Amino acid sequence: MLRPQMLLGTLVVILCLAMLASAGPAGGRVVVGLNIDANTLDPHFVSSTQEYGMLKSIYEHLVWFDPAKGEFQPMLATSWKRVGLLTWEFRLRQGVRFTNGEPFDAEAVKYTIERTIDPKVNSNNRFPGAVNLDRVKVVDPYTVRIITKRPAATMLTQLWILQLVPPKYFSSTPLSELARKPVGTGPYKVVEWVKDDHITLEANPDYWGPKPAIKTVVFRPIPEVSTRVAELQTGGVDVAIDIPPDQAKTLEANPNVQVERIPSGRRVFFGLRSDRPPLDNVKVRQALNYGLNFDVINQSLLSGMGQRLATYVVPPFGDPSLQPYPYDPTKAKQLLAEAGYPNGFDITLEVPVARYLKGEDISQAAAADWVKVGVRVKVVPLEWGVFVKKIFQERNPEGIYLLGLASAWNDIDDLYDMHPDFVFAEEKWRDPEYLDLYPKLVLSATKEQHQKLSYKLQEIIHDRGPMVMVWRQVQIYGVNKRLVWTPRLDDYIYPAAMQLK
Amino acid sequence: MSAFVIRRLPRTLLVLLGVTFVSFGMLFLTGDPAYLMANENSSQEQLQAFRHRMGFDRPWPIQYLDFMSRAVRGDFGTSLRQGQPAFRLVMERVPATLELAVAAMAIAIAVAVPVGLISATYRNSLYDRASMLLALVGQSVPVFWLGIMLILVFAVQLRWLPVSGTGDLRHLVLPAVALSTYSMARNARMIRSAMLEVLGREYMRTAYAKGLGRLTIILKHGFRNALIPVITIIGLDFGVLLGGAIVTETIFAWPGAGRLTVLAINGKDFPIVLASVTLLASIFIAINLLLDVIYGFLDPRIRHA
Repeated sequence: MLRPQMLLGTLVVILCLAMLASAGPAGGRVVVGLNIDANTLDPHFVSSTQEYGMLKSIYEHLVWFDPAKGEFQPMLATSWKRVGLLTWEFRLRQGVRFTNGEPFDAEAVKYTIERTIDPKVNSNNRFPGAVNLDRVKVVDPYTVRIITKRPAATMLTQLWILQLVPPKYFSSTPLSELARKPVGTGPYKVVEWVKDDHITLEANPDYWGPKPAIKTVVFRPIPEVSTRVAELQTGGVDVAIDIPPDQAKTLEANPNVQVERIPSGRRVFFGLRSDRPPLDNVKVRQALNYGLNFDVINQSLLSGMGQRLATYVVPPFGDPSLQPYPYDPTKAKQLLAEAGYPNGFDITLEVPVARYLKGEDISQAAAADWVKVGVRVKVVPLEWGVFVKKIFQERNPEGIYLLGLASAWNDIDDLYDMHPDFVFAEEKWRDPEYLDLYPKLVLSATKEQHQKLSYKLQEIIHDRGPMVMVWRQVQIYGVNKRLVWTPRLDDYIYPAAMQLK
Repeated sequence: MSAFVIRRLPRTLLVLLGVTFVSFGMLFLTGDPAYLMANENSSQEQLQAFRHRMGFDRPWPIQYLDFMSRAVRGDFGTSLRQGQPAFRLVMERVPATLELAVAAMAIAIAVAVPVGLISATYRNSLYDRASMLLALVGQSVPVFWLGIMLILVFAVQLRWLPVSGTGDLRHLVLPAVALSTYSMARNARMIRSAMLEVLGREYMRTAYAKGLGRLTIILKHGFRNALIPVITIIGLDFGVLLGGAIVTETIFAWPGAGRLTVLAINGKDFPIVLASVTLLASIFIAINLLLDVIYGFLDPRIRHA
């Protein structure tokens, strides 16, 4: 005989189980307002930070990178070690599958690296020359060795770019199809993509790692910033990127919105062409550094949120003892006189249009500062394509130019930007001590030696480098308060790290 | 009828040819896209290889002929950035642009016709002056500013409508209104002046003399005769709407062909620019051809000319 209480109890248990089953491990929907749509979701053809960021939820890497700590953590590789100077060995995570069922193993790693350098594929994210790849060797299904021709100190950074793909699917599917239908191992998979309207991701139920808390994530490209802000104010989107400083203040008045100001890895500076007068003179370069009144720029253009750069290398690798140049017009004039320019000189400043936050305004303000110490600057705005061609490809800046380079989040790569071997070494700066020390940094055997060399190189750039330091560009996010999320320093939006309150 | 269309066809093709030639030439003048495709890891050799593969290293008349010979077969090449057939990418966006343009046109006509008619009939009245002043404002206000104001008032303050994007009909209201304003205002003024001209004609006096009702006279004898210049303007308007859609689509995050084209121009994605310019021009031409046919219905003299 069933007693009523027992029946009721059983019913309650069944109901609870049913609710659990239908709710699943994840729930909720989060909408992210970006400024552009992805061009492609083929990981070896993407080019924008936003595409990389989106794809990091779909495709995965051997290693995971935490820019706040400057530290690599296991992802699809569980451990790694260097075998001799030229070989990196990785132990791979077992039991991981791509969302189409293909297993992840050493062959997938080999296939992926080889795909990026296959001339027939012609990827624009090749496994780079800096690594000097010799070959990829499959030791056993879960061990892979990457062998290089020269020591590759920044191997892990390169692997944080390399997104691993399923060999069978990729080798049997046309490129135009791969661009639309990604298949990875990540915490999310793409369920719908309507170009220029939205990309919808859904939590991958078979994900090998901790299940994401949010089930559905929608990326919406909203090019006009006022519209993005309006969507955030009305709850249409939960996250909006690229909020200008002046609108951030308005947003802060909204009780539902939190404003996050994240110093990004993009270091904005004035490059100085250092192979010909007048900028070949160290004193002139220092004078320009002393002559820039950053506090005024910061207060009037950046709502006071900026900080002047002291070193070109991002934390935690930056030398904390380096101080930013103070504003000292007297000293600037004196240095110019010592350099043989008591009456100053005329020079051109080239700035790309609509590329960096307040880039044109910062350039105009700097030009006005420099005129005060006698350097008569003509500001020339250039369309981005023209700028890239003239500055990067032809390496032919007139004199001063505004640039903002994103960091690879390690000092070896950051410091390479100023090395004449770097493909875009437009500043044409050759400092014998720098050239002598840099290779030693790459080959340094101990952490202490590495840090010592790195700090020395940073000091050289600070004292006599080919640049006027400006600031680390701040990325401003508007976030709905129902969301618990700290944006990453490298601007990648990773929804698996989000939670709803 | 079909003879009429056939007679128009060569001219139509010539226009299309001109459009592709001019846009191709202008794109070519802005430089080749290889530089923008580069990143820190690309070498000069890679850029050269890219140029060669895409055929950008050939003289431009050859490139143009090559483009045309493929374009007539419907092949506009592969998007440099999206890795997909350019024509397909554009075709996917055209329905959204047409939806917006047609909705805007419907709103513009629905408002402009009665406003213009009443203004003309009650010339110099307070109503006439007020509506023409409003029309002047509507014609002068920039779409960009208007769009953002509409968002702030109807989406942020009143919360009646969604801010941006697509979905149900409610999403269409703000962008369509923003886009329609210019045409609405201009058409109201056009209809008013066309009507005024007709109202002064002698056959109107005859109609009154026959003792017909006022409404019949205005609609049947007046409006029908005023329609020809109005139809012309509406045909041209469609071009304005397709062009204006670029701004409107950007403000309202509307996934149309205009936005795609602007992004493609900035990114020097030649195949997409050419495909979309050709396609939008074809739509514009087709609509004007259609209007020419409609003239014939309205005014038999044109058909027989």
